[in-house]
Amino acid sequence: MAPTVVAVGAVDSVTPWVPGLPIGWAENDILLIVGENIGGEAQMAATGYAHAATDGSPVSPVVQGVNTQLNVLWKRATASESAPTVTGPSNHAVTRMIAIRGCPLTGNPWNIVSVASSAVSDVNAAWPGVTTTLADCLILEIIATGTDVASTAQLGALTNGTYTSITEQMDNWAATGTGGGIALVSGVKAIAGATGSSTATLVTAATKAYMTLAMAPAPAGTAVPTLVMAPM
Amino acid sequence: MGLSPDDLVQVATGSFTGTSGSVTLNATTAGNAVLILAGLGADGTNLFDLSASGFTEPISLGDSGFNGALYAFIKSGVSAGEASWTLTVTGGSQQVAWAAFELSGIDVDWPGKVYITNLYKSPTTPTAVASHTCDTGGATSETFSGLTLAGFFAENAAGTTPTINGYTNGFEEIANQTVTGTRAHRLAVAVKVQQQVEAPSCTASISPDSYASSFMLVFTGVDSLHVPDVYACFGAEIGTATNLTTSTLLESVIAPWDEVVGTPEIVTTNARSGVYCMKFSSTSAAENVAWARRTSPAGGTLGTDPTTDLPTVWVDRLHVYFDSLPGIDVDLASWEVGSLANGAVLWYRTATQKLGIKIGTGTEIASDAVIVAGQHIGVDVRYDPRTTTHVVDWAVDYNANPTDTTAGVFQTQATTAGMTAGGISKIRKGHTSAVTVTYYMDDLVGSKSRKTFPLGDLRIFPLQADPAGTPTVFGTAGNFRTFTNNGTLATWTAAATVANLTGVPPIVGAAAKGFTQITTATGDYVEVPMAPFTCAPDYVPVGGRWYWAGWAASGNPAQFGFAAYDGDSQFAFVNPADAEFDNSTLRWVTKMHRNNPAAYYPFPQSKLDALAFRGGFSNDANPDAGVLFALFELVVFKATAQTLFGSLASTTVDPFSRGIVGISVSAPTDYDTNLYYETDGTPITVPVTGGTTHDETLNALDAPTTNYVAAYPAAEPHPT
Repeated sequence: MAPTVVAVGAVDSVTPWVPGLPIGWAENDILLIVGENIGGEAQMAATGYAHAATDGSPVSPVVQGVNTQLNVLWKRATASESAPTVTGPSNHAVTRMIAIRGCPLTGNPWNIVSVASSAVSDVNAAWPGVTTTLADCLILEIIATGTDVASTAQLGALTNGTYTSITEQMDNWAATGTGGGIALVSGVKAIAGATGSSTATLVTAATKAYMTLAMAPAPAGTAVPTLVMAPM
Repeated sequence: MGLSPDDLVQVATGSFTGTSGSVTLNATTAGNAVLILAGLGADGTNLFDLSASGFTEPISLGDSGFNGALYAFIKSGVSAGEASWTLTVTGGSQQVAWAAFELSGIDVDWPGKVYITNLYKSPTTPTAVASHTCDTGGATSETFSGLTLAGFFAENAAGTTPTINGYTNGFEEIANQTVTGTRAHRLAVAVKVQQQVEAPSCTASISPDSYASSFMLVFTGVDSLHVPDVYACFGAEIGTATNLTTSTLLESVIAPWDEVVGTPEIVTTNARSGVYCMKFSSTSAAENVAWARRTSPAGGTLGTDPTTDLPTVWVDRLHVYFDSLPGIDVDLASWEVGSLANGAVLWYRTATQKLGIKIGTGTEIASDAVIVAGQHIGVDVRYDPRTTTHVVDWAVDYNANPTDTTAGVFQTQATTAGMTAGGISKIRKGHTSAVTVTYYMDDLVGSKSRKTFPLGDLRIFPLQADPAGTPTVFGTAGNFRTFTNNGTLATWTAAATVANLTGVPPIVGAAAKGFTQITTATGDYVEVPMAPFTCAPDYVPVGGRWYWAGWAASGNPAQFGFAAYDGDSQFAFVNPADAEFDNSTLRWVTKMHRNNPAAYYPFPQSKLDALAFRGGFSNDANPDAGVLFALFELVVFKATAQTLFGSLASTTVDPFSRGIVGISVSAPTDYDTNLYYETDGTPITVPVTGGTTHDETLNALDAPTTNYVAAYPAAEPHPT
C-alpha cells in the first residue's frame, strides 16, 4: 500500500517562520518542511530536521542561481512534536509542512529522489523523473520559484500518465521581500519503474527548482499508526 | 530577477484623427515609466510630425515621411495618478494610432536600446511590403534579463486596413490598434522576455501589402544582469615601467598609460595576480599614472573626441597593498572631469586608517571599516558626473587576497552638488600630492558601462606566445626573418619566433630579438598562437589587452601592422602606417582586445583558446620592421561558487551572466549518480560512480545556455 498524505499544515511566509504542524500527525509519520527562499541565501534549518538526502549526501537545497532555492527538510515524528521554527533566510521565505504516513520506520523514508533546476524563465514546469524500485510509492513533485506574487494558484494541473490520485497539496506564493513560493503535488506510482517527467504550467514565467521525492511504502507487516493526535 | 511581462503594468490602445489627441491609461504608480508607441499616418505628399509633451524620444524622427512612421516616446519617473497625455500632430490633421504602456522595474537610467528599421520617411518611392522585419541592425543588447518590444506600423494607401500577425522569434502580440480612412493604418506591438545577450529580430506578416515601419526597444531592469564590458585594464605584466607613455601614431597613440608623473615602478613584490604589480614610492613628491585623452598627437586611451569618446560614467576596480599603513593622507586614485577639482578622489586617511571618497570640495565619505596593511584591498568605484551633482557609488573588499572569497562591502554613496557635468577626461592611479609613501597596485580594470558596477573580484594574467604552438606565415615565408642581437637576421622559423618573443620584460637594444618583415607584402603576416589558459572552473574570461613592442632595423619610418585573431574574426587593430619604430627605443603598441570600442565583445573560453596575434602587413619594409615583444593581459572574473543540490552537487557561475562555468558532483558512496544537463537544448548525461567526484566543465555563456540541470542518484536500498 502506498504511503498516504495525512495533512498539510498552515503556510507561513512571515518571519519568524513557524510552519504549522499538519493536523492529525502521529508518531512515525514523516514530517516534511518545504520552503523557498532566495537562491544562494543561507539554506533553511529547523531543529531536529535534516535536508532530504541520498545516503549521507543532502540533495537539498536545490538552488537556481540567485533566483530561488527549494528546501526540503524531514524528520520522523516522535510522540511529541511542536511546530518547528525555520531559520536561515533573510529576504523572504515561504514554508509549509506535510505529513506522510505509511513509510519505512527506519532509514530514509523514500525510495528515490531526484533534483533539478531550470534557468529559463518560462511557464513550463518539468520535474526530473525517477525510476522507482518499489511498487506503491507516493510521489511528491515539489517546485519552487522566485515569483513575486501573493497567490494560491500559481501551479496548474500536473500531468503524468504513470500516476494515479494526482492531488495538489501546496500552492503558496508570497510577495514579501523579492517574493517566491512553493507547490507540491502528490501522486501514486503503483508499479515500480520510470515515472518520466511530470509537467505542469505555471501562471507566471519563472526559473525553477525541482525535487521529485518518491516516498517508499512501509515493508509488509509494518505497523501503521492509527492514533490521531491533536495538533499542538 | 530582471524584467518579465509582469513589468508591463498596463496597456491601452486608441486612435484619433486631427492635430492632437489624448493618450490615456489608468492612474499610474509613482516612479514607473510610460512608453507610448504611436503610428502617424501621412498622405503620400506632405510631411507631418508627432510630439508628446513631457516625453523624450529615444530617436527623434523629425517627420513622418510621406507614408507614415512609427514614433516612440518615453517618460520615466511618472507621478502617482498620471493618466492622460497629449499627442500633437504638426503639418495638419492626420491619423494616429497609439499604444501606451506603464512599465515597472525598468532601469530609467538606461531606458533601453532603441532601434529603428526600414523607416519609410524619405521622398524616394516607398515599397509596399507583405512582411516586415523589426531588428537592431545586428547590434546586440547588453542585458541578460530584459524586455524587448517590437512595434510595427503599416499604412495602406488604398484604404484597406492591413493586418499584422505571424510574429517570429518568440514575440507575442500585446497591442493592436487600427485607424481607417482614405489611407488605413494598423499599429501592432509584440513583446519578448529576453534572457540572453542577443540581436533581437522579429518579422511580422502584413496583408495586404502596405508601407511599414518599426521600432525595436530593449529595456533592462534595475536589477537585471548585464554584460561586463571591460574598456581598459593594466596588470603590470609587461614587467617594466620604461616608456609607459611611448606609443606610435599607428593607432590613436595608445600606450600602457597616457601620463606618468614621478617614477612608478613595476615589480614582482606584492603582486596580486600574475607576476608583476605597480609600485608607487615617492619622497615628498607626486607619483601616478593616468589614462587620458591626448590632444597632440590626438588619441590616447580615452579617445580623440571629448564629445563622443570620453566616458560619461566610469566603473573602476583597483587593488592597493600597503606594507605598512602610511603616516600621512594619500590620494590613491582620482577621476577628473576637466580638472582634479572637478572630480572624485579616493583617499587614505591616516587619522582614521580608513579609505574615503571625496568629490570636489564636498563632504568626504569614509569607509565603514579600517583597512589593514599586509593584504590586498579591492575598491570598486562608479563615478557618475553626468549632471552637476556628481555621484560615486563604491565598495571596499577589505581582504582581496587571491585566496579570500569575502565579497566587497558597499559603502555610503558620495555626492556633491555644484560640479560641472561632463565626460571623464582622466583616470588616475597614484597620488598627486607631494608625500612620502610606498604602496602597490595591481589588477586595475575599468569600464564605461554603468551597470558593470561593481566589477568585483577579478584577476589579470599574462599570456605570451604558446611554447607548444606553431606560428605560421600566411603568405611568403621568405618575406619574414627572425632576428637576434638587434638585427642579426635568420631564416624565419616557428620555433625561433616563439623563442624570440618569450620573456618579460622586453629587451631593447643590443640583445633585442623577435621577427621582422623584410619585403613589402601587405597581405602577408605571421600568426602567433598565444599560450592556453583554462579558466574553468575558477574563472571566467572577460577580455584583455595586447601589448606589443615594435622594432625596426634603423630609425627611418617603417611600416608594420598588428592584428588579433580569436578563431572567428581578425581584428585589424593597427594599420601598417608609419610605426615610428627603431632599434633603440621601447615603443608600445597597446590595444584592448575588442573589434569595436563602442560595442560589447563577448570573450568566451572558445575565443581565448583560439587567441593569436598577427604581425606583418607591411607596405614599406624598408627598413625592416617587426616586433620584439608580445604579451596579452587576460582579464578574468572569479567565478562564484554556489550550492546546486545540497552537498551532492555544486557549481561555479559567471558573476555577471550567471552562466554555469562548471559543475562538481560528489556521488554518495554506493549510489551511482547521473548528472544530466541540457546545453542549447542538447541533452547530456554524465554517469558518476558512487563514492567519486566528477567535475564537468560547461562554460555556458549565460544561464539559459545550460538550462536544465538534474541529478539522479540511485534508489535507496529496499527497506526490510
